[in-house]
Amino acid sequence: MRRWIAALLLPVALVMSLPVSAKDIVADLVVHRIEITSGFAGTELTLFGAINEKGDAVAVVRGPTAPGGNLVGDTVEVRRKMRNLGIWMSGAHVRFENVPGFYAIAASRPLEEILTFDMLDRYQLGTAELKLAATEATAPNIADFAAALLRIRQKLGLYSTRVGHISFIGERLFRTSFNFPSTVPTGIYNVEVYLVRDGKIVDAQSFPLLVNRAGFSADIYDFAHRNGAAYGVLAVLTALLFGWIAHLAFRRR
Amino acid sequence: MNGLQAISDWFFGLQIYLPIAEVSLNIVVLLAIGGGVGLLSGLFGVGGGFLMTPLLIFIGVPPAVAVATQSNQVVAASVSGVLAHWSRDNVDFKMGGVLLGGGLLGSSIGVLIFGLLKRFGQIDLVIAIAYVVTLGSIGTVMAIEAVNALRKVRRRQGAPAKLHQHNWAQGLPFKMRFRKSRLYISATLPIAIGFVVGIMSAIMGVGGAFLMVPAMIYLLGMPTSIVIGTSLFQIIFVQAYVTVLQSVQNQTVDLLLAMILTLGGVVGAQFGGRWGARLPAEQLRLLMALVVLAVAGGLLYQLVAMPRELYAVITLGAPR
Repeated sequence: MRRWIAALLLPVALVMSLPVSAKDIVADLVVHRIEITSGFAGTELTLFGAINEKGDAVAVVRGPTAPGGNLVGDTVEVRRKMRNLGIWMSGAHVRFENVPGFYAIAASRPLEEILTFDMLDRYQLGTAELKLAATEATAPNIADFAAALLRIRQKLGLYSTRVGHISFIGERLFRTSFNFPSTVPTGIYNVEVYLVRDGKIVDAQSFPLLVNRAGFSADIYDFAHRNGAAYGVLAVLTALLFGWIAHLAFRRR
Repeated sequence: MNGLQAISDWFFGLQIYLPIAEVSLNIVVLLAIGGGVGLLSGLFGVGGGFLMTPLLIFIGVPPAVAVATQSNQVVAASVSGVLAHWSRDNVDFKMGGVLLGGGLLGSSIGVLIFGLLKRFGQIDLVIAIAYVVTLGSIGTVMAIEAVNALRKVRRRQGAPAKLHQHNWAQGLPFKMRFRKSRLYISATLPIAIGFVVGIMSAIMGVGGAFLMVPAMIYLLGMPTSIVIGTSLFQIIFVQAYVTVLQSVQNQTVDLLLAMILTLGGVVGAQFGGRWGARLPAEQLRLLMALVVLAVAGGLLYQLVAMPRELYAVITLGAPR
């Protein structure tokens, strides 16, 4: 219920704030935090925004970021299987640095209609534009490995398969939504919105989004990482108890 | 049609987020896997790790978490199984203890070998080949033996069975009397079996009962009824040791996943134990041989068939 009220009031608040703000584009998420609890099975976040004059909007969610707030991604190794004596085994590999754990994008029109290829490349807009820097390779065809990385992450729902749709309500207000799978990595994400007019980015705004564990699942994770030995002993004791209870429960039959 | 839709929505909506595996999975599927493997565990006295690990990986649990968590779940299933066998006086604790001594020594050395293989790369391949070779050969030998035994039973029923076999092992020193197993043999034999199985189980990430049970039957000549309870008894300690070791070194034991699998597993193991007590030993062995061969066949297929995705992505971590 509270979310609904927030969702209804947000655009109003955004419009009212426009004359005060010098920004040409403002946007916000309905919730700024994704909590991974035991019931978490992925989620959808709605983004609302407004522009002060007719134009196109592009929105990107990427992360997680390094503690400094810089967009530093993971180091990822892509391995290709090869056939040897009739058996498939790990063959050549390529190592990429700065690979985002999550990347989603939405736009009001197809990207190539509103921005030049150069601009898309510069701002890394679109899954295909992600800059994957190879630092180590045992195969010459690095592009194949990069394509495989994008394809696999797209299949997992971690990278946008296609550009999501930003819909305008009238000329000023817009909204879109982003899907997060249950495997979404924890951390601080960056949400960016761009206002595009005549093939140029005329304004932009960015703000953080927090993805963290909460409740029982957070407690288990923290315990496992803080005191592994006690956790292991607890796991064994739990197993012994379960086995004994099961025996008692079934003995009479 | 609408009702069916509602039921399927409800079923597929029963997702639970696993905190260590960091993935959300269907709780009904997890309970079914636990129950199915538990049934086999109670039936044959094996931990079921050789089945559980591939199944968990198949539904999306990271391999490291699958291997570590199944050890914990096997502890629970084995306790429930041992208690059931103990109540029928089918556990040789003395034999279990001697096997365990060799087992702990072997698994410690196995962990070292595992580390060495990991450094050379291709550890996954070594594990897969080890599975196919051991499961394939054990399954084949067991199947042939069980079929022969079944034929013999049919041909001359009531023929007097030999109490024990005399072979080279009778000449070994440190002879010990195992009353429950009706054996008077050298302690070096069960220790050596425990040791070898310990090494294999550490490398393959399983309890090793599928190696232990045939060795106890064919090498030691223990009665099949005693073998299962004794093997389960021994597995409790080896797997408890592995659970703590994994928790300390890799933080890969998922308590929530283990509890769900256990819930399904202990129920399955109870039914398996009851069912197994009613089935003739030869049929039981043939059935287990077929399960082992099926798993070996599946793994062999994965090794030689063209993979659907030729590439694999491994996250090595963020440079912080």
